[in-house]
Amino acid sequence: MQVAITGLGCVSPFGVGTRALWEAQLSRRTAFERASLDADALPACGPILAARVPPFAPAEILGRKGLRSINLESQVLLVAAILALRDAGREPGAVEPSSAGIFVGTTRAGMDDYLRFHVERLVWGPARVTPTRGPNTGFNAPASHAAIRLGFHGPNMTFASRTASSLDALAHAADFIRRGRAQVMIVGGVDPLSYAVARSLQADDRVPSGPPRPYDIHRTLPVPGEGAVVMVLESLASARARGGRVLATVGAWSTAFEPGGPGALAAAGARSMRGALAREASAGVDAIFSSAAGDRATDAAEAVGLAEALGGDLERTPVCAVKGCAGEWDGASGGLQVLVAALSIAEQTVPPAVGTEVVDPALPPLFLPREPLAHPIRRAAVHVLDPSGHSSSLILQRPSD
Amino acid sequence: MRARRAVVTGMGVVCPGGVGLEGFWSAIRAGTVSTGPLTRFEPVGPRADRAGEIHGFDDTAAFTRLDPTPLQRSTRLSVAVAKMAVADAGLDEASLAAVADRTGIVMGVVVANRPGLEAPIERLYRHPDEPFALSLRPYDVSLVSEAPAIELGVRGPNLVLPTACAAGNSAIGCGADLIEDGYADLVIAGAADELSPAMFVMFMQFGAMSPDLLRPFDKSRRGLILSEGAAVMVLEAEEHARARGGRVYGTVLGHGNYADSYDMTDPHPDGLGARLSMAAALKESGLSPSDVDYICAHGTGTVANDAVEAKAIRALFGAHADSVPVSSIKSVIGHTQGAASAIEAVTCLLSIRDGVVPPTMNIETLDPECPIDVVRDRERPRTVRYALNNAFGFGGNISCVAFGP
Repeated sequence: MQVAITGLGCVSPFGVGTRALWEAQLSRRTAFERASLDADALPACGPILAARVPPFAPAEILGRKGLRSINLESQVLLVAAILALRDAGREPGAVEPSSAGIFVGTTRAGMDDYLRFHVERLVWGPARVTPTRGPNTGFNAPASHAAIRLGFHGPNMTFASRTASSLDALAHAADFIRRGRAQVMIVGGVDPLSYAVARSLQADDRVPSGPPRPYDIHRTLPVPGEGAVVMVLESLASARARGGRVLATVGAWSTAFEPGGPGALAAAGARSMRGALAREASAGVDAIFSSAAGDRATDAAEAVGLAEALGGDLERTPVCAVKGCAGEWDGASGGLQVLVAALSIAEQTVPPAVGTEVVDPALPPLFLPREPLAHPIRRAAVHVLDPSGHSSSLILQRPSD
Repeated sequence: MRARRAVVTGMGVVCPGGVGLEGFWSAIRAGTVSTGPLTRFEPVGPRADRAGEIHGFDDTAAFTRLDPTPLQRSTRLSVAVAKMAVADAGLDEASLAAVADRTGIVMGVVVANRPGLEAPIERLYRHPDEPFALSLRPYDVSLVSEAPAIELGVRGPNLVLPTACAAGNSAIGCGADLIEDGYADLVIAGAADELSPAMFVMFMQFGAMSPDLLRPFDKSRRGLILSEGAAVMVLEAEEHARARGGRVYGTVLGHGNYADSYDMTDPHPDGLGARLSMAAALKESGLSPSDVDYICAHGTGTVANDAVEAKAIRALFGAHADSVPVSSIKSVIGHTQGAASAIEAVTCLLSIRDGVVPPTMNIETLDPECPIDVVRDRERPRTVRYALNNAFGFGGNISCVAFGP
């Protein structure tokens, strides 16, 4: 059974909606600014460069009722989910509840609430901690809130595998549809940029001094970002039967874990890509949607890994590194890459490099378009390589006419 | 008919009252209650002073490659049980190395590693003018699957499923899927979790903590007792296990994962997600309710959960519910949170192995609102061919797994 992506939703540093992100990328705009992150009773930690979601009113899409009991990352994911369902032409009420599920990738959903919960206990005592905060301290809060709000009784899971989280979630959701466990899956990723993250970047001496430069000779560090992405998956047959638009179909997935430094990282990147391609009926890809975030070592390892997997084809294959535009979204990053890949397939256009001025000559030759590239994309590879050693690859295909 | 099946060839467990498979099983079969006074940290309130704690176990002893010092309790327990399970499966370093790329790890948690942040944040709050640095690296949830992989040298799929108290079953189901779909030949799957003041505060707020004992399905049950623990099982492609002559405890036949989609803390009043998940697990396994010989209940001892779980069992099993033995080992070891269903999965496999259903302890009067066959006070001999493992979590996350020979 072929699984189709039929809807996209996004809340990004460029605003609410997929279009805002896509247009920013095509016009090579970024949203990096110095931002202060605070946490109530804790001392301020000083501003850091980041791509933050601008203030918006979730109530305009979600309504006001019950919103105060839903933490911010869950609200943002829910907004993206509703936008994705609308984009797919599937209002929540029109979906059979027990056949619709939700998978979310995240690395730290609920962490801010966990820490605030703890601080409130210190400040006010355990009896006066905000009672609605407890259920928001879990990683599963976004997926659970989304199920409750949308009324979906189907499979509901949360995945954490670093920056591959939401890509891995999507691959498993597609598998659940193929196995007949669900007919419609809402799959997304969300990770909030929080006080603790800012503190951690400072403690690890990982505070960026300038915008990210994926694969650039002068790249130094990734720049944190935040956002939520959601995709609607259903079988290709059902999408066609209801006359739904099909952006892309979900092909093979593969994953690998190779901790232990740059050599191992490159091996992980190569292995996941080879694994995905080996599961495809034919070879080759027409575009690569890379996880390069401007990190000196990881970008290099990803380039080497891609070269090992694709050989000489790599330098002829356009590469898009969305994190140069939107920043590092951690658990939501894989989903962000998938979203951009699906849009690129639908538009038959590879977005230009953002933040990359001079491709590092020490890397295997890479083709990063400097302008939007009209390009036939029948098959795209989404590739994640995380500094921890996780690598996942997913193939997306242009739907056949 | 599936092309590949995932069989269980090794298990490891650490929980209150039981370190290692046979020690755990002896305590569970005997119904030796191991919950007691909370000693790990100061109780956060009057009905938050009972816990299930692991005593006398060095959770760093299994480490040979990583420095366990900065790693958190859940990560350390994960490494410990992973190594136990691999040894139990008869796999050594050389045999694992030969299949390293084809061996994955999938772990489930509720809050694993996050509790470790409480102490540094408290220091910052109390001493805001002192120098402060907090790296999140040792607290990352992914370490519960990464650290065992590094310690064992395995490089296949590596995932964490933080699906609340359904996490252990979610991980086992996912691990079986990875094998069936050919992504791995072996998957070490299970879950781990630790005690934290924050969870005590939360359950205290809900009035869901028992002041004395965890009494599943009892008419006077007053709540759960939080606990710590970890368990994993070595899942293996059946042909791989047979080829190497591995002992097979049983097979992961299928799983069901439906959401209550009702409330972040309360279960669906009709047990909708529970019923759908149990039904899906049985359907995927090719079983009917009358085939089931044992239900290892979620059975938290909370007023809401137990009544709803019994209702869901009754609704799905009908009259057969009178003759399907049900037990909750949480009465013995407490609620180990994300680890609970992984430990209960081990219970299912050992029940199949030994032909016995373990007891539910601490029941004085069975709640008439729970009209199911609860095995009370002492184990019950029973040929267990098929066992169903229930796990229900906050947020309506539910996962049920069926095991068979």
